Formats: sequence, C-alpha cells, structure tokens
Amino acid sequence: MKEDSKDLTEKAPYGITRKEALQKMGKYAAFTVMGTFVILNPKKAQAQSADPVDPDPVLDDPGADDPGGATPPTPPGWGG
Amino acid sequence: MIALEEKFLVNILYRPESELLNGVDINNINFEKLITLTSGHLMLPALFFNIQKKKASYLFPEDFIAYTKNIYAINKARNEILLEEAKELSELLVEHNIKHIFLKGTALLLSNVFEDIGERMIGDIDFIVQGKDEEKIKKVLEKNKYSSKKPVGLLRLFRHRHLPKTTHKNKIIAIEPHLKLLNPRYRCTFNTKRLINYFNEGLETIKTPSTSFLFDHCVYNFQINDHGFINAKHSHRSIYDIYKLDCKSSLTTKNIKKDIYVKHFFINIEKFNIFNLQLPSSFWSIYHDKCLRILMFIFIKILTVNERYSNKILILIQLLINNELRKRALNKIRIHYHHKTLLNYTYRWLIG
Repeated sequence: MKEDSKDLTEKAPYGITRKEALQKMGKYAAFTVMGTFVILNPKKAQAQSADPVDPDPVLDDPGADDPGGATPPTPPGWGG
Repeated sequence: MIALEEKFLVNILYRPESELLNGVDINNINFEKLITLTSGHLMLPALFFNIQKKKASYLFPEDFIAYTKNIYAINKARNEILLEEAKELSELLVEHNIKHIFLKGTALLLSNVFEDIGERMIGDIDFIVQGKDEEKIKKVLEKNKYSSKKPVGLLRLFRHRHLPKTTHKNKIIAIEPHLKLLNPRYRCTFNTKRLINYFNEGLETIKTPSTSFLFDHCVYNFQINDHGFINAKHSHRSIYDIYKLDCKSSLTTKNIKKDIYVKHFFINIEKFNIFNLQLPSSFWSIYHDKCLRILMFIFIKILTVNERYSNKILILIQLLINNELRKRALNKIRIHYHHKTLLNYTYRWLIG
C-alpha cells in the first residue's frame, strides 16, 4: 500500500503525478482499453509494430504478425 | 448470453431512437464496464456520435459524456490529418506512376461511408499496390524520407501481405503498403479479380474500391487476418463498418452463405439481430457447420506449421550462404546475450 501511494505521488520529469494525470483524464480513463490510447497517440501508434531497440531483419517477418520478434504480438484489429 | 452493457451498446449503435432501451434496464448498467467493452472494440467515438445523434445523453452520467466527447474530438482531429496525409501520399504515388488503391478504414473514410469523420478509429493508412511495383514503391518512400524500423526478410516462399509499417518524421499517421490482401495460406479464399480490374482502370489519386468489395474485404480481413474465424469472436468495428456500408447487394442470404468465412461472420453476430438475415438454425445445418469449422481449423493449423518450418529452413539456408545476414544474426545474439534474454528469446523464436 505504501509503495502504491508513493507511486501515485512521485513526480514525473515533466511535472505531473500519476494521480493528477488520472484526475485530469477522468475516472473512465482507468477503464479504457489501451488500444484506444495507442491509436489516438500517433507516436505510440507509429511505434506499435516496430521494435525500437533491436530491429531484426533476419527473424522478423512484417507480414506475419511478428512471429520471431522480441516484442509481444500486437492484438488483432488495431490497424486500419 | 449477451451482457447487459453489450445489449445497450448494440441498441445505441444500430437501433433507432425509440428502441434504445429494448431489453435493457438502465439502472443496472455498469458504465465503467461499458467503457471497457466499447474501448476494446475501438468504438468510443462511434458511441459518442450515436448518443448525440439519437439524443440519448440523458441516459448517461455527465462525466461519461464528457469523457467520450473528448475521445471523439481527438479522433476527429486525427482523422482530418489522416485524410490530408492520404491525399499527399496519393499525389506522391501518382507522380511516380504507381497505381494504388486505399483499403480498410482509410478507404471507408474516403468513400464517405460514415456520416461523421470522427466516428471511425483508424490506426494507419492502408493501401495496396501491384506486386510489380514493390521495388519502385520502396525506393519512392525511401527517397521521400519515409522510414521503417523493421526491414523485410530477404528470402520468402510467398510475397508478403504488406511491407513494414512506415513512418515519416514530419507526418502523424503511419502508412502500410500492401502487396496482397491476405496471408499466403488464405489467398485462395478471396477472389482478387475485381481488384485487378480496379488496377486496370488507370492511374488516379484517391482511388477506393466499390462498396461490395469493401464489404467482402471487411469480412475476410476480420475473419482471417484478425483471427475472427478461428476464435469465433466478433468485432463491433467490423460490424459497424458493414452496417454503415449499407450494401444491399452483399447483404443477401445467398451471398452470406457463399462461403464459410462470410457465413460464420454473420452466424457469430446473429444474436444481436442487427441485419435480419435468415441463417440456418436446424440441428443438421449447425452440426454440419461445426464439423466444417473443425476441419478448416485442422487444415489451417497444418498449413501454418508447414509455412512456419519452411520459413525457418529458409532462414537457416540464408544464414549459411549470406555473410552479411550471418553477421547481423550474430549481432542479435550478442545483444540478447548481453541483456541475459538469449535463452528466452531463442525459446520464443523456436516455438514461433
């Protein structure tokens, strides 16, 4: 519990706490499935199918839902 | 058994104003659950639009309306940018004589299928080019500063469904150039003759397929690429697309029974009673459908395993004959060894 409350009040580098962020977005933000935010946040949406640390030309197949990639597979139906 | 929240969502999305509370007791609705359900189907903007259109905001808490309105507004602004960027992309491709056709959400938006531009959530700009233009489009995109973090594998048995998702540092929306509509093992199921005809029509900007083609692609894309058929699930985003397409020639019982993918798409959503179709309900027809589904499942699994091992054998051959590729593979192993995830990674890759 202590860790949780510390987590909520800990200041992020850009000066807003998680608690403040949740208050600003409203209580329903906590119940929203991540996919909605991923699509609405363009930079995240752009990065969702890419492996930013270690792109792998040998093992990754762009047309087959990332069978060998290091990132977990993207849930179906997130594209266009 | 349909959850109360889903019944309510279906009423709001597909039924007229007078039927919004059919089979629903509004006092028992859990609005947090409704948000989770609706956002899981990527339908929050469409929900808000329909609440406004059907003047149903009195049924919802004020903060619920405020929240969905925010999501809708952000999505609408994003879709406006998407349309602009799709037009710019189309002009670029025409300039380089590359015939292209927009697909999925972008095509639906460009075809004015929706009453409002903010209704549909779209991840990226999907379009298809001819196989012969694969190298050409790669060069054009590279020259115009589009980049992808995920290069294409060098050797494959079949052509990829699409090139890696590509972004531009000055643009908001990612693009996904398709070379085929479906993954290799399913290509026999969807007749692409009509698509070839569209390509023969000539070079033009903002080209979209006919509504009947969009209808078919919507169903096959969900059933096959998004695994709707195998998992016997439904997606309100796909159902809503079909509802909005209002394609009377495709929504006939004869057309819906034409193959197992289309038929099962509508069998899965029959419980919502959206399209009023007469689908088989006798014991034998259901038994026959189940048997066919199991056989298809086994067949697809065999093809999947077969394709997976063929790809792995191809990779091994490439590693033996291609020095540069071998270097990159060794570099990969070095990075994962450094992060102490090599075993986990190798295991995941092997089980594929």
